[in-house]
Amino acid sequence: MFRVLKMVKGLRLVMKNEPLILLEDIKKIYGSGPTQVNALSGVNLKIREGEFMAILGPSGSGKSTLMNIIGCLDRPSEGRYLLDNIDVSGMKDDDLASIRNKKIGFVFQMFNLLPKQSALGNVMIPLLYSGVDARERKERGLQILRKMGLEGRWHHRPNELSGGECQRVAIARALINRPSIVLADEPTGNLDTRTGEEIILLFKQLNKDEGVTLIMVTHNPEIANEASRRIYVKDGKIVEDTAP
Amino acid sequence: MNFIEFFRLALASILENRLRSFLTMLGIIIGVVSVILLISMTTGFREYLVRQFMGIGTNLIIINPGKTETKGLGQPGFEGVQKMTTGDTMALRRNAYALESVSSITVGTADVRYVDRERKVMVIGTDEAFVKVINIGVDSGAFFNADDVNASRRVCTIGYTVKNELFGSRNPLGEIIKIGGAGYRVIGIMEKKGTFIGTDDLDDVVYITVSASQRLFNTDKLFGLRAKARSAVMIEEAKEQIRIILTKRHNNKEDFTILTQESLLSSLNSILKALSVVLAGIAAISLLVGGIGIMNIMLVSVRERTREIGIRKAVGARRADILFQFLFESMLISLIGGIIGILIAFIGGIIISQFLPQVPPIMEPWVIALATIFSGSVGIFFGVYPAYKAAQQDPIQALRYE
Repeated sequence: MFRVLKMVKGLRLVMKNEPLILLEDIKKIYGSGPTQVNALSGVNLKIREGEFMAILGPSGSGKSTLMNIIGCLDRPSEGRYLLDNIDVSGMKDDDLASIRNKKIGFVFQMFNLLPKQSALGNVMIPLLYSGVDARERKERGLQILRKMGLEGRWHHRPNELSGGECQRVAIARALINRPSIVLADEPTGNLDTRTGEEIILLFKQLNKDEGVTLIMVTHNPEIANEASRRIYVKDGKIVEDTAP
Repeated sequence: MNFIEFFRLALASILENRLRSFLTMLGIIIGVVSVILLISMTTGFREYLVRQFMGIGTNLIIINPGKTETKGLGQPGFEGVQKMTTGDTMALRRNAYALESVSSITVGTADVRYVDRERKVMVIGTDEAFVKVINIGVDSGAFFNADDVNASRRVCTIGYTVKNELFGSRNPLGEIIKIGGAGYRVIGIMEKKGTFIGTDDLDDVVYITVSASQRLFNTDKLFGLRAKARSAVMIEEAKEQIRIILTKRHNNKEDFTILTQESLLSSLNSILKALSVVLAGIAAISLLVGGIGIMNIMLVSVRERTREIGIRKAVGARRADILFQFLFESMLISLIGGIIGILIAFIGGIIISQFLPQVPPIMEPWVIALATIFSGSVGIFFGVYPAYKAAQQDPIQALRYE
């Protein structure tokens, strides 16, 4: 399944050679008047299919805002955002929800799993909102958990799983709807070094073997170095980009 | 997402917080139980009254002296009410062809004595037509006949309670009892009638002929007349004939009141309906309170689950998805509460009918349907605001919520 998908995606890439994500002069302004805050002041960014990119920057630099906009959780105040050639910058909340459902997978620092649902229950949630029936949800959920090495753990609740396992469940949830991009916000921030490394390894594998486009926000330069491309955000602007 | 998914989600959440869900339901349960039981009890009471009134006789017409209903016809009398006599009975028997039979009634109380036992009982003076007009039979012996009435014979029939109290297990037939000092021969025992609307013991009665009773109480006026129309459709016609005949006999004054079972029932019915509306209204207040309880808990629940809402929105839940998730939950809480309430009301109804076998509560299907619909709508009504609040959450804020 994934291989076919990868082929289709690759084919499109060859044919169009267009970026998966295109940000043009993105600005995000909070408040107005004297309390106005420019979280982003003119960001231009192109991300191609299959990239593994890290976003670095001090807190308050605007990287979270950038992440939220890329993840369609937030809309830019100004500028244009093309995701997969679709302009999403002016979309309504419910349309953005559909975009998130189909094209974006999130991995959070705090895992953000529902505590009262099993690993499988958590993984299946995105499918619930894309109208997949219960049988297929379970099938696909179990399949992706197997892929994440959580075969025998599907019925456990998050509090019965280790931090690393929780993050694997979260990654499975992010991947289940075969999104165009996976956004990871400090995915190793809540894990010990070794487990963190394992998760990064998993990311690299997914990126290399499955062609998953990965965008990762991190404080940690060591982890950022694992990515194939790094951008530095400061004062609402991209100040450095390692893209060739 | 379809309704089954929302239903599953809601059910899972309710089961997750069993105690809390149950306590929230309790308000609805109490409301539904009280609404159903109060309505069923008034319904039962109404049925009981109908049975009692219809049990007196069929096509019964009651004629009492004095005007209690005005119709705008005839001027209000300045003179006193003219007494009603056996002459009126005779006139109706002769001329009111819509009537099957007419009977005179006098009512008084007197001491009734048999050997050493004495009892104050109701003495009804009447004639042989009484057993045709009123739905009452003779258990043993016979009711007095026209001869007895015309000759004012001192014979009597006694009710079941009188028989038990005065004679115990002895056979009273042929015995002489003293009513107000004079001796009367017992010729019949009436069948058991029980009580009327829980008050008068209809078996604590002695029947004597109307002429004997007029002598006993030293008056020639009657308590009233009881008549029976030939059929149900002739009741109105019979009433009109009675009115014309008696008005003519009473110096062209309508100084009497004609009542039927239906007219008595319809006025009672309207009182009972008003009563049941008031009672149901009071009970409905507890449903309202239950609804507010649901709203309160749902608001708490929405706050508690802010992060969950954030997660669901992040992975693609639209506003309607979140709205229906919470709305289904509040609706299901009150619906389950409603169903439990119906079951408890049902059991309560059975228990009440054990204690009040005379007036068993009657649970009509529409009451149950109403309770179900009402409890469901309480859940929706009070669930809308919390669900709306949940749906409006900003995913970024919600995800940050600790």
